[in-house]
Amino acid sequence: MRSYRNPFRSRASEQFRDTIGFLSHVGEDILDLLNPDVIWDRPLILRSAPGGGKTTLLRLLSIDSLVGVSGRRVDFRELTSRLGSIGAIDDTGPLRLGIFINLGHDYRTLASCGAPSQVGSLLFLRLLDARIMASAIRAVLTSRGLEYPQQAHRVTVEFLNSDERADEAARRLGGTVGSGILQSSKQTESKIVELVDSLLPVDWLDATAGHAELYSLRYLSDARFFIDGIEVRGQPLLLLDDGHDLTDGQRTVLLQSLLNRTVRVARWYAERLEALAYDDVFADATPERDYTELEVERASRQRHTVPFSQLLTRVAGLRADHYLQQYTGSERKFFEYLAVASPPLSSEIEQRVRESVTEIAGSNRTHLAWLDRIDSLASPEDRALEARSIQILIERDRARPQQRLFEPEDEPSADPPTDRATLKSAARLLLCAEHDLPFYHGKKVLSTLASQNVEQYLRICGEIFEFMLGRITLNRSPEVDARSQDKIIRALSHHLWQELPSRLPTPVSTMRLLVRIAEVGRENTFSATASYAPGVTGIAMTMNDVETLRDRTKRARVPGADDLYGALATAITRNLLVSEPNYSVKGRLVTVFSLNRLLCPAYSLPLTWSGFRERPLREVAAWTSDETDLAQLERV
Amino acid sequence: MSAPSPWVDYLQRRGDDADALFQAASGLGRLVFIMGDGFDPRALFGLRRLLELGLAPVVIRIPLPRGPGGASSVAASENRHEFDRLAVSHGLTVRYASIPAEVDQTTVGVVISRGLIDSEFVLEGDTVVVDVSALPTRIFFPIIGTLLEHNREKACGEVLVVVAENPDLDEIIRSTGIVDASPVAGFWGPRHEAELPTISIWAPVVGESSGAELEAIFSFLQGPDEIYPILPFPARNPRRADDLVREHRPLLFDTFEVSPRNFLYVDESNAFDLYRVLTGLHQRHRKMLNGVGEVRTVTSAHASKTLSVGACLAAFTSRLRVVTASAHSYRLHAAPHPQAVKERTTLCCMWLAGTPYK
Repeated sequence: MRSYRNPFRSRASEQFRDTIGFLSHVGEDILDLLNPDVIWDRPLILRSAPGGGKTTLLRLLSIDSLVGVSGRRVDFRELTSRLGSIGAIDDTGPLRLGIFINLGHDYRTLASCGAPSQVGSLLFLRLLDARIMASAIRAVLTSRGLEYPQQAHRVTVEFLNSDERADEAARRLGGTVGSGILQSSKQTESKIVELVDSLLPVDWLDATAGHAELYSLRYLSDARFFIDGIEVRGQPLLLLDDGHDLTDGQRTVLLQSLLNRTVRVARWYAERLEALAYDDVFADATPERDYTELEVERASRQRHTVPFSQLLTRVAGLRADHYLQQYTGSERKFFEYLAVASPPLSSEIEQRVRESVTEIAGSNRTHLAWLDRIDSLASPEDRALEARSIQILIERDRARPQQRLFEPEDEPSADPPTDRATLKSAARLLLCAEHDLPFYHGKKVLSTLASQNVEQYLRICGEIFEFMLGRITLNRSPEVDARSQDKIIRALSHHLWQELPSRLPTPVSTMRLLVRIAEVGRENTFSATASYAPGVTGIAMTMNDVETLRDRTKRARVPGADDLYGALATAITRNLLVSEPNYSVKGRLVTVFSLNRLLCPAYSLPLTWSGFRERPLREVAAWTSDETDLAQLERV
Repeated sequence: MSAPSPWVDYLQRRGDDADALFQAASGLGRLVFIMGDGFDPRALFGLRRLLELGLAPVVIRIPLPRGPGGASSVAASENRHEFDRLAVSHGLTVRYASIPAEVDQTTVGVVISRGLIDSEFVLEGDTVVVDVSALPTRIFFPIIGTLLEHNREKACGEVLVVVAENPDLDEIIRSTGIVDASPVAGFWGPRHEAELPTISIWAPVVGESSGAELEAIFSFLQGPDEIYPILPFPARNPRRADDLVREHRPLLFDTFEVSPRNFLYVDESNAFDLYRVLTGLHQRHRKMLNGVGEVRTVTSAHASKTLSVGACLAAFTSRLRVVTASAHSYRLHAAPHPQAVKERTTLCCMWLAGTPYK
């Protein structure tokens, strides 16, 4: 039997390390998030949840990508155009020497390997300096297609403004010849790693000397690189990824160095979103003047979702279309196999809905008059939806605090006053839930379920593609009807809930919070009056309450608030909750915490972003410290 | 760090046969017993056996982070009370390893293990028995590494490792909150900048419910060039290897794109078999790819403690990189029955360095 590859699941090495493989799979639309006026002359601080796209963005600007795109303009037309529009490449090649540095793992170890904290800090800067300089030499050689490290001796450096500080930087970093810089970097790295990795006790006071500042920033600010005496035209661009892996102390030192206004090298720094943390580092800096901040998911949302959904659709197409065409021999693309429309509604269901609403209307003339509208509609689906909408309106009318003693004598209005669009959405959701009809299906739903997260989107598409492969194996066309899509999505949502306990660092409080939010959503969405149509998928807290949470002293006065703070931070950084601060409700500002869209189908919740219920801090804090244990939560 | 005795001929015994090793080793120097202070019902199994044999070691207890509560907290508390009772009734000398506040998951093991030497908890010529039953990888790998290195440097002393094996307990201990993958300090492997292109090989020892860990390590390694999943066969359950392949099929074949020819099999009850397989794999690739690129072999242990010891030995002698994505904490999914724990647990003892290899 022939074996098939699921391109959404594959994380084979070519996607990590092979530049052309990476460029072939990346959606260039992500570059639209960058404003070329504010990304080169000041630090760019990028933030996103895991899988949000920050590493992809940095990697697109690395020298390997820029050389890859420049060398295959015909294959990467769109990338060439977008990179050109932000000033990263031009017709002759890269204009930036993207120096990619991952800040993960090793650096944090320096702070926790037993060295006194001052020694650890000095070693951190020295090791980072060494790696930045080695990567800079690599970037210079790569920009000219030369082999690294063999050709390093051909690289020389001159400084635009040679002064004592530049000389000091050059002296500490191995001089002004590529091979010398490289040798110095290697020696430094070996020495430091040997200390950290030693199984036997280390005499830290006798340890190798560190750096009190990041000399490489000074060096690169003034450096002009030459190969065989000919100047390299690209300007260094420092791309620092995974800053969240650093310790607080290391991060502070690094960010302070990057924010230093005397530094002129272009520098981008990416870290995982820490939405609730108060950041002292930026307290004295002014956004847009001293640095540019880009929160990837928020920026994507503010671009009205459509461009981001286009990006996702393109990513899916880049991965799947080629394989599908190969496996089926057809020219049809991935999304063309996904049914958009629900199966036609049976007249039996329509009849049941109508009977139900007629019974509820009873002899109320106003309500009966509303029902007259139903027959004017053409399809059973429209009629069933209308009937279900009217049922909600009747329930709302009955729930009004002051019922009329007598019905009005004049002719009752056949048009109930209401917002038809949201009501219809709520009616559709209720109808699907009550009659086991597919609700989650279609290209747009897949994009929404991604919650602005590319990794999550790939996971969803991977499940759909697996279903397609099953059909292909059985010699069937890989169509995925609405019911199958709905089933796959609900199963994936359940799976996401189930895997949370093993993936969260503070699973009990975080799970309690998420489960309670989902329960609030379920309770309000499926109430008879559907008061918060089309449904509730989050909670909100006043900005005052959020400030109390952020302040350690105030927080300590609220029972359970510490747990809640930890749970919220965990959920937000892992993109399980999406926070939207300063949301205006009736003249007051609140922060909305909405569930990740993929958590919603397990509770049959809608996928719209706007529905939430406001809850006071004390109540929410009590949720995270209730008695439910992990085993119970797993069963939920 | 150079290779000590290569364990071509090794000393490993189980059950009652292990007693002979304890008794032989105890006569060669001051007996020091290192153990974890956690909730694992096996935590005291090794110590009890030593006491039953009339041996009274100096005990070094390694504190472990508290789990998320429930049955595990109760079990941890019971273990502590039982230990205190044993210590008093047998007049044991007990020392507690200290963990500085600034250490994290990646360095906690190496800081503890350096501390054992620095604070003279372990002295030249001691017979040290490390009970890894209740210790996580990130802690016991550096401890074994440090003891082997210390032993080699001072050319004296005995190093033994014991594991209380119980597959039923492995089944009910669940991990909570996978931390990001990272190398274990002390086992970073060669870190110099390679002159030739680097060829990365990852040989994970695959275990049940380890999907999240495997995924995290794969991402950390950024897609290794070759993956050699190691499966337990022969095993008490002859279908265990097949079950593992079935459990991890989407990950191994779809995500990692492992070639079916790359599966390696090791005896699930023999740490030294895994040691041989791993070192052989590394050496074969180095020889094969000599001049083409520099081979960097990474291993990660997700199966039993016994096999983990084999991975530790291979990493120590061949300078393999060890990466973990271990859990933030562990918990008991259900409360085990004490009698069942006693009846189904077998003690396995491995003598790693000292007199038998001279």
